[in-house]
Amino acid sequence: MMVPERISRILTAYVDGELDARQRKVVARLLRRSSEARKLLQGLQSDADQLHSLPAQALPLDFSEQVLRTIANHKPEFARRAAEVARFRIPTWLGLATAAAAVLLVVGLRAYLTVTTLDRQEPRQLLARNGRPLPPEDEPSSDEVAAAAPTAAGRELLPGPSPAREPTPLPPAEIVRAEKRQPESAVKPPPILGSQISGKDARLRDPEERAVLVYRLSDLDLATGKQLESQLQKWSAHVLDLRCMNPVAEVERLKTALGARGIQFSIEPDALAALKLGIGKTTSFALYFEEITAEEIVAVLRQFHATNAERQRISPARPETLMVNAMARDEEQRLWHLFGVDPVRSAAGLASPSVGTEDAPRLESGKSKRRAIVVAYSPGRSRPVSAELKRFLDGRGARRSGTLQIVLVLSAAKS
Amino acid sequence: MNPDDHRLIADCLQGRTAAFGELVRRYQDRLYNCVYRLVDNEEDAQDIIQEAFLNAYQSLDRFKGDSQFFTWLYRIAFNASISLRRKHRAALALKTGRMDAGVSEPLDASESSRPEFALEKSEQERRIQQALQRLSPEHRMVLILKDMEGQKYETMAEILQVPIGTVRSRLHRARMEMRELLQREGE
Repeated sequence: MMVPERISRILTAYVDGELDARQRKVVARLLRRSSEARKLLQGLQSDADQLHSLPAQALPLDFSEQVLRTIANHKPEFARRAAEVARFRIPTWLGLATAAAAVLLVVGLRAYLTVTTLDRQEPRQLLARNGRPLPPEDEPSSDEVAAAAPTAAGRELLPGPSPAREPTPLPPAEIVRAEKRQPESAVKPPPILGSQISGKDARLRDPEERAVLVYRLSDLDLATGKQLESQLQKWSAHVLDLRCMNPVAEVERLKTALGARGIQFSIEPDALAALKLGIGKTTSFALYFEEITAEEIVAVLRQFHATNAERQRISPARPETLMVNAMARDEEQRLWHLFGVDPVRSAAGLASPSVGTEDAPRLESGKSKRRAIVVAYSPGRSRPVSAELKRFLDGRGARRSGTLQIVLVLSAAKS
Repeated sequence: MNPDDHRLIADCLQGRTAAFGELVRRYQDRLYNCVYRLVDNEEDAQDIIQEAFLNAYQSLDRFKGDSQFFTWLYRIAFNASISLRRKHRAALALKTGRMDAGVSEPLDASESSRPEFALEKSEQERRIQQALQRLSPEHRMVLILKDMEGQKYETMAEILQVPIGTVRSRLHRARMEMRELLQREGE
């Protein structure tokens, strides 16, 4: 008789020596009742003991001398590399001065934009031409300024609803210069275990910026939509952060809109529970899908907004805002945390590599349907891989060129 | 952090390379023991350890001291193991002409598969080492860190740069797989 997984989990944790007193009592009661559990625990304990008893290996006595000799032989090269890194390293005072300069630049740029150029193709001009009043001239909020300033710390790939970072209403299509990101081509993918060394070096050497775009869905007309499409086409993977009033209702609407385009949805148990219980005000969702074109995603967002327009006329609410972030290759690792999936053990990476590499997924017949999955969004929280997620990942085929990978995060906007 | 390590690192940063030699002597065997069990090849393990120490030397000024030096060193060594494994896979793929995702671990590099290994080592060690090698590298790592090094979940999470839940989960799967493998061997 197989021991159920929840029991085997507590038994392995017992062998790990990581249970507290209360949990150990639970195990003791379990062992009194179940001979299967006792047998399994005995086996697990024996395996652990045997591993622990493996004879220790040792290096030759002169190993440390060998290392020191290698260091001495390569000292000029080490010194050169250290100088290179030091050249790119930004001292703290310089970083702060740069941040202050960037703040002044943003303020100055905004002032410049508001007093000049009726003939520039800025989204604000599109608004004016459409006959809608321009939003009042504001000083940027401290959140916008903070977002514009380059920072040394990495930005969370998938920003969850965070009261501290909630911006005041923004003019549409405000292009906010975020801190420097790494372009896919220039960065060696960091090792799975996240080495300090290569990650920091790569970031310091990266000259290219990646913009974060912010839109109001209400302003996503044809022209602005085209603008968004061309931005999306610059990178193959994006995170779209959509703030709305009721994520539960919006998930259903999005599913309908995407379903009409032949995208099949599966829903993870946590997300399903949240949807059924209607606790959407406090739950955020992430919809992950591949093989969608930029045109399709923009059309879906416009359709999504259009179906909300009637409700918004009746009870005007805070406009839905969409933040668009291109996904850097090394940020995919964090995406795996969303799914709680071990990226190395998965059959294929989230960024479906091109066919011909050793990590390319096998093309299987009968798997040409476009698929998507909805998960309850809680980045950083580990979760066991559900059957739905496993089916979704296993059912993926090679991605058509010209299509995008999209993570669409739906979270509640503050009222 | 161990104050002694702290002093040695400070000395090293001031140009006293001999202080780094002391750090190497302090941790070389412990690190080698883990890496050897991970890659199951003496030569590869020695190369990895040497590379790890060289990388550590180059990056010593970036070690913040907010974790144990040994934890940091482990992380470097495990990263180096992963890189080596990738190189071997690429080399094997080139050799066999296979570029698909099914390229497996290069078993010919594993010492426990050599015929003479059975003579050199005890039967028990052979069984355990072979079973360990049949696990995925991630499962091997967590078992080595837990059962051989006695590390806590938090330290393992820091070394492996994954959440604690992932460590717990991997250990669970690793132990169950190991159990199954050893049972099949007919203990």
